[in-house]
Amino acid sequence: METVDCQGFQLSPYAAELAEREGIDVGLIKRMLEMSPRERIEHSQEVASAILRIREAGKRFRNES
Amino acid sequence: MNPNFIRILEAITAHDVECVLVGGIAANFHGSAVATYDCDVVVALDSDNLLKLAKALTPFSPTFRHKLPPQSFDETMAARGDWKNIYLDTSAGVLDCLGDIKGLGDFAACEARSLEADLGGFTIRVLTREALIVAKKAMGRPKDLQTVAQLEIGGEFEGE
Repeated sequence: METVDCQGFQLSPYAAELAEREGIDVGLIKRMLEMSPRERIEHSQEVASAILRIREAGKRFRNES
Repeated sequence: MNPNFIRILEAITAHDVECVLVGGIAANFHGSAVATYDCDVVVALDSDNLLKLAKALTPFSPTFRHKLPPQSFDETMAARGDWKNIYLDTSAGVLDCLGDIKGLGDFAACEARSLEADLGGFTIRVLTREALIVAKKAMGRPKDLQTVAQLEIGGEFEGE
């Protein structure tokens, strides 16, 4: 299969174009795949929880100011 | 409240609920890094299965997300028998129990395109990467297309 360099990884031209178009951090996908399936889900939950906490803090800030 | 979808999924499988993990958590299972705030499962909508679902969820105090005043999802409600989708808030996070999903169909259709996934201590059926891509493309929202791209790139890393 023909591959091209994309952010330091070898991907097909199709996937490389996809990564470029959608602004995807290819290294992040690679790191996710190095985790166990359970760790992938738990990691995603931690990220989602952190985003929710930031949103709630933003709401509190706007309400107080 | 910190969601703990693993606990919900573990309880559901411990009660032999017929379900398939779909949506963002299934995408995370396949390596997508898109953060998701709810857990989506496609369930068989027969009353036996919904009773098992209600029993499994009891420790998580499930309530209907869109009903005011708040109303519990319990065995009495599960037995009502005319459900299409059940949208719940639980003590472990938002859980959507769907009768079917765009692009694929109902529980039987999703089960046929699922794999048995080991989540460390228990197993659950999860849509295959290819089926999840079909479903996400059918949904077609920007976040779905972002997920599709991540799944397709992940598929190349995994030689699919």
